Amino acid sequence: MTHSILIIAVSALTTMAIRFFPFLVFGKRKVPEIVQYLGRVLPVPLWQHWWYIV
Amino acid sequence: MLQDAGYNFIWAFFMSIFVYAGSMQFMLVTLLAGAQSLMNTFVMTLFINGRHLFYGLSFIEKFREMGKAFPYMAFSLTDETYSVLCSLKVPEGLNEKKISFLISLFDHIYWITGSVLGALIGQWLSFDSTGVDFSMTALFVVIVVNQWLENKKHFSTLTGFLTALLALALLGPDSFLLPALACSTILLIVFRKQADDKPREEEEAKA
Repeated sequence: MTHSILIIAVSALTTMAIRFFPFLVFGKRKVPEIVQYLGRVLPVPLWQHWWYIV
Repeated sequence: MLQDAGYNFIWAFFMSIFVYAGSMQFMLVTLLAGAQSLMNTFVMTLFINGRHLFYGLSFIEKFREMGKAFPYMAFSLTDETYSVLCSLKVPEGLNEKKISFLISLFDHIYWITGSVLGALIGQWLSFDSTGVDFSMTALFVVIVVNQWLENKKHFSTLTGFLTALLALALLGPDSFLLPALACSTILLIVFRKQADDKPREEEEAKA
């Protein structure tokens, strides 16, 4: 049972680390213009890539 | 699936609260059943949820302005929530931050409720669910068509389509996603003039 809990904990912490990563990297600094640009244009390719998976 | 592997609804409840990632939770059932190593779990999570790194880029500024809700907004940025928040158009007079937070919260609650109910009563329900999984594809198609109609430039749409197709042909369905995303990112940086709908001068003037 302990090992099962640890598996879930590792997965949860890794997922959180991935999701927080961009926010931690830029912290309270001004987000670079190139990152703002990627934030605007990347959603479309991301959605399209998902068509092939789901 | 979880019940078959010997885990009850309480496990589904906690997994849905803390992991909160659809495809990874399916994979976790296999990892739990096979008592896989923690390193395997870490690597699998990294590969399956790696795309979420890109999601945050679209919301860095927006989430920062949300004060105490900011950590939860970052944590709850799943595929579904990301899609809904990206296409969100808040009518005048309504609070966008509050609406974004409620969308994220309700998505999470729906997911927890669905997982627990599935673990509790799924084994007694037998119905043909063929085709239900197409709802996510349909959602993405609708959003991309909407983006196509709204944007003047279509470079990012074409880039996404071609890189995914190429990576899928070269690497297969199991490992094409991250390379395709990386290629899209590089191409979008190189061909920024062709891709950006919002010129740099306009942004600088706004700032």
